[in-house]
Order: sequence, then structure tokens, then C-alpha cells
Amino acid sequence: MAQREMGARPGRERGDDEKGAPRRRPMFRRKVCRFCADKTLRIDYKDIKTISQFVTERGKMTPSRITGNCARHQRLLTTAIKRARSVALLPFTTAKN
Amino acid sequence: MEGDKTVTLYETLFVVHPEKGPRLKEFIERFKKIIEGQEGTVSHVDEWGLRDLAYRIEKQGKGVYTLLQYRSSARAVEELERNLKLTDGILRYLTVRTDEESATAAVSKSPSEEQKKPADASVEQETDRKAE
Repeated sequence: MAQREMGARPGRERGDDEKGAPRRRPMFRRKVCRFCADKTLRIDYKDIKTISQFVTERGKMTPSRITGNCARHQRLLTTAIKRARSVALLPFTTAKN
Repeated sequence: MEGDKTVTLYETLFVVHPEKGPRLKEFIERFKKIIEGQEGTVSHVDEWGLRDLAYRIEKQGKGVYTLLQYRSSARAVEELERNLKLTDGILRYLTVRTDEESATAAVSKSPSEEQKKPADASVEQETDRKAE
């Protein structure tokens, strides 16, 4: 988040719009929601293989700004992860148990 | 009253204590009867077998997972969940309402073969996060 916000700010003073001052925006590929791209891919709490791709090593859910998931699928994913956690398919945390 | 006669597709996943594993068949039979007793029909029973738990439950690191898919009224779910609660050796259970197409998909590619620890597939994402 930090990067995008910072890049957008400094433009104002220099009135740069037409010249396009070199905003410090790192090259980034437009991320596409994986579930939108592949319609056959279902979000299911039982399918840990898929779901664990959206969870960090510590068991936290990866934010959609990193995975590029669309809001709808991120939402579905959230419930799926929570369900999987409740039946011990996914950890709540991997702090040492 | 809530959903008296409406018949919906549900699935219940439950985890049995590993030491109660041998009695699994008995459990399944019992739960099936409960559903059928409430005029439900069990469409699919999927035994995933002994799996690692993501965290310890009742000091157990493993559990026997079973998935029941059935079509019934909400009443049957109530009754089933009540029984799950009462039965010793049920570590966890989860009932979810499913829609038709995802249910058929789940049957065709239900897990059980991927026994790997849930935590490690996410390395890629994690490094991404650090780069940020």
C-alpha cells in the first residue's frame, strides 16, 4: 500500500500533469483474480491445496492487494479459510502448538 | 418454524478422535440413520481417513475425517448436530449448505490424497509480501 500512495502524492506542487513527472511507481503487472481467470476453479473449504496458496506461512490470510483477487472471490476465500480453520484443516496460527 | 419441509443439500464434515477410528463405521451408520429418520437422503459418504490436524485438539495431532453429503430438511441438521455434540470422540464438525454444482465437483476431486502439511504451499505468497 505504501508504494502506491507515496507515488501519487508529490505531483501536485510541480503541476506536472502534462509532462508526467517521473512518479516513482515501480513496474507492476496488473494482477488478475485467479478465480475470475479460471472459472472452473472453485473456492471450497475442503480444497486445502488451493486455499493454502492464499495463506502465509504463519497461517494468515494474504490480502487481496497482494494476491490480486477480486473482492468477491476474496470474500468467498475468507469464509472458506475460516471454515477450514474451524475443522483443523488449516491452522489459525503456527506459533507452536 | 425454521425451514420445516424445505429440502436442501447439506454437507457435514466431522473429525473423529484417532483412537475412536475403528468405530467410525458405527458412527457413520448412526448419523445416516438420523438423517434418514428425518426424511433426508444421504447422497454421498466420503471417508478421508486419518489426517494431520492443523492444530492440536484434545491433545491429538491427528483425526479421522469424514464427509457426509445429504439432502434433507433443516430439522435433520439440527438433530444431526445435536448428536455430534453428544457423541464422544467427535473432535470437530462443520455443516455447510452447498449448491448443486459445487457438490458434484467436490465428489470428483475430494482431497485425501494430498496429505501434506497445510502450511507450506504458501511460500511464494510470503516472499511477495516481504518485497512490499
